[in-house]
Amino acid sequence: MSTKIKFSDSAKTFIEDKINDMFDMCGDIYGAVISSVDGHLVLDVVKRELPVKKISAMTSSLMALGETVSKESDQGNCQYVSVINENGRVMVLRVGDSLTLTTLSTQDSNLGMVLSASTKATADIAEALQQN
Amino acid sequence: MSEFKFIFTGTPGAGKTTAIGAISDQPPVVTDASTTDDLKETKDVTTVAMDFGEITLDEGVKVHLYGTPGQERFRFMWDIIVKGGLGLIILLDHSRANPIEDLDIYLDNFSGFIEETGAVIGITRMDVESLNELDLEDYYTHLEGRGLALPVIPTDVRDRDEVLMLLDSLMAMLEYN
Repeated sequence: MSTKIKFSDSAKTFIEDKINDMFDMCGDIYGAVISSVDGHLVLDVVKRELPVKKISAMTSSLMALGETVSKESDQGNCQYVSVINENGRVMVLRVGDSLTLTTLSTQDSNLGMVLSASTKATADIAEALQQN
Repeated sequence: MSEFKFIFTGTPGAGKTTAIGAISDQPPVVTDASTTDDLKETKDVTTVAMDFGEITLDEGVKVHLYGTPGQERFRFMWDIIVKGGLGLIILLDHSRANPIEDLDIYLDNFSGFIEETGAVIGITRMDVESLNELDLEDYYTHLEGRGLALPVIPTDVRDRDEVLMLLDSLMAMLEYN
């Protein structure tokens, strides 16, 4: 079973451009995965080999758990979920209602820069998708 | 006070979240996301991480109820959720094209856990039009062929008593074993 969310060629090119802009803004980000909220891979741009399908499923669980924890804690909407690891960082952000953006960056990355670049990318992509 | 952890798994749309909601003392914690695939034809949201509820039984036994996502792409969650579990409830949507094949997915993936603990099988949606001609006996025959003797119980997951029957069967089975 696969997602019914499909991008037109022009939308795909636009999103890839925005992801590359994000890579330019924060050189420590080496991977971006766009997934549906129910865990299907939609699009990926990665600089090294990554299990992108598995990452899509896992990050949708992560985002849902983050949102549920936020709701149960009475802390409003979850803005992003980050996982800080020995050898890198994973950040998951919502893109509109149906998608998430996951960024993967090195252990040396500045978390503020990763967040800033990722947030800008999600806003650009969400706006473009809304116009389509 | 004793505390147990039981896990609900099974096919997408079989009613895992509904079953937990039917018996949980508090509204269950859910992790629903909008469906964006063929499942959308039957349901708008699906569990992508886990459900959680709890029930205190008459004897003061507290049972923690965990629900897994149904889809195989979330198999990593199955491995996480079964940790510390004492038994498994497999819910199968009887109206799907091949529920026996569905059953095998869960028997295969949870084989170690079932061997260590126990499992019961709840057959749901027997009251709606089915894409197959199977009956309960077919499930028993299939289980027997795999060398398994597990209870198979038709269940309306919206009915608290029927879901409790699944729990009772599982606990009786664990006690007997």
